[in-house]
Parts: sequence; structure tokens; C-alpha cells
Amino acid sequence: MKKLTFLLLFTLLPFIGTAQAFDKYEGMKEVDAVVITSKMFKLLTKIDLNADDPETQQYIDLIENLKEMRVFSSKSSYVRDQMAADVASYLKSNSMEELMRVTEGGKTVKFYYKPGKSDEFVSQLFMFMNGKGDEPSVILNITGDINLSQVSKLAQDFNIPAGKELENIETN
Amino acid sequence: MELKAIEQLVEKYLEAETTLQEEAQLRAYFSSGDVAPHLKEYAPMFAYFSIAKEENYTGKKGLRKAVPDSSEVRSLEDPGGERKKVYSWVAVAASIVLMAGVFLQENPHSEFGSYEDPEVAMEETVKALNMVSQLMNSGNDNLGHINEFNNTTDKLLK
Repeated sequence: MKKLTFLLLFTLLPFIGTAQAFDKYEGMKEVDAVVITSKMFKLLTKIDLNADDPETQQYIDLIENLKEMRVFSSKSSYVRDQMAADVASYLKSNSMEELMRVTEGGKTVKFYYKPGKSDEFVSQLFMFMNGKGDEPSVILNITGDINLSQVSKLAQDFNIPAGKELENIETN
Repeated sequence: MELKAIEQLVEKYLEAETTLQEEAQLRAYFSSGDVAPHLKEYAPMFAYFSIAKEENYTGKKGLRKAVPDSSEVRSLEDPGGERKKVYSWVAVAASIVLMAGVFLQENPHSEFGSYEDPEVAMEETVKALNMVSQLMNSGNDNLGHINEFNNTTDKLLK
């Protein structure tokens, strides 16, 4: 019996050792998950993307320098509470600096970052949006060489409404 | 018994010529605790055989008793010893299979993440970046009102 309990503990080890605390959300059905691994980003840079316009090129320039991206969003109140708790403990254990906070109509968006190679760049961008009602709670984490000013410019330059599909991308 | 007699009996025993009675005598001597130093090496032999005598064994098992070793000692106390060993081997194998199943299950998604098609991955990345950018700028909408404020104060002051 003792042997069995030891073996059971052993099987749990891989879960403890996983890279990030939020991986569990990927499997939950109340959660919409978008995970782009470094393998996929490398693939994207290798593929010759034909950008018809400089707009798309701006995105490509950014994406080329990304390592990993994880986005988890959920409208379930149970998951929302879990997320808030997980984010709080993640922030405690990871030394990240606060970038900004926005509070709008009851929902709060917080940005955190880990510094990058220069003032403009961050090596990690972490965002948590505490949604209310119909708006989901979102955890977002991007690692790589992220040019913050470039990211900020995207919405300013293109004024893109949420959910627009980009048909400009052709692949060879 | 006398030392000389014991020595002779030991010799006889090693020649396998002792009677049961003589063996009993030897056992008694060696278990007495007062064994001559040059005979001490034979003591464990007779100590063992005295245990073997007490045990009830069938013809089959009796043959195995000739050579003592650790597994034999265990089965003296527990006749089902051999069967138990086989059982635990199965348990170990089963737990290895279980662990393998858990390890394999850990990655339900591919190594590329949520999407295998790079075009789709690209689209989703763009969507996410847009969302980030919008939220980062949502604070700026309020900053835009400062211009209004400046305009109105200008009007008032003029």
C-alpha cells in the first residue's frame, strides 16, 4: 500500500513541474484557450508571408519576435474566481513590474511585464482582465522580444474593431 | 559430551555416516553454547538443521531445504512466498503502465499549441495583439478629453 501511494505521488509530479500555472485552463471546457507555442512562432517566421500592405507587415514584424503566447478567457463565474486567485499567486511568485491599470465600467485590466533588452522592449507581457457580466475574464501571457510601443501603436494606427479577420495574409 | 567424541561425530557427519541419534547429540552439543573454538564453524550447520527438523514438510519442499538461503528462510515462515513475489511484479508492471498513461495524457494539444495551421495561428495572434493594444489604449480615450478641457478653458479665458 505504501508503494502504491508513492507511485501515485510520482505520477502527480509532472503536473507540479509544468512551466506555467495556467496550463490547467487549456483543458477546461468553460475556457476558450489560445496557445501558440514557440514551435509555431518559428514556423510563422519561416513561412514567407506575403504582406499586401504595410499594415500586415507591422504585425509580422511583431510576431517574428514572439516566443510563446497563451490566452485563456472564460465567462463562467467559477472559473473567473479561480483565475483571480491563480493570478494573485502567480504575481506573488513571479517578480513582474506593473505596467498599467485600466478600470472601465466595473471591469479592471492590469498589465504586468518583465523588462526586455531595452526600454521599449519587454521579455514578458502579462495581462489579466477581470470581466463582469457578459464580458469574459482573460488571462494573457506573451513571452519574447515584445516591442511595447509597436503593440500600442496597432490600435492607434489601424483603429481595428474587435473580431475583424485579416484576409491580407497569403502564404507561399 | 566429550570433545574427542564430538570431533569424531563431526567427522562421521561430514562423511554422512551418522545415525539420527548421533546427529541429535551433535545438535545438543552445538546448541549448548559451549562449543570448542575449532568446531565453531560447524555450529551454524547444526543450528539450521534443528530448525528444519521442527518443520512439517512434504516431500517436494523437503528437497529445497538442503541449502539454506534468504528466500528459503522467508518461505519457512510463509509457504506462499513464491506466489506473493509474482503478485508484486504484476503490481509494479501495472503501475508503470498507469504512469505511462498519465504521462501520455499530459499533452492533449499538439506541439504547435491550439492550432496546427499557421494561417489560423497567425490570425489568432493578430486578434490577441489587437485586444492587447486596444486595452492598452483604452485609458487614452479619457486622455483625449483633456484636449476638450484645454479648449473650453481657452474659450473662457479669451
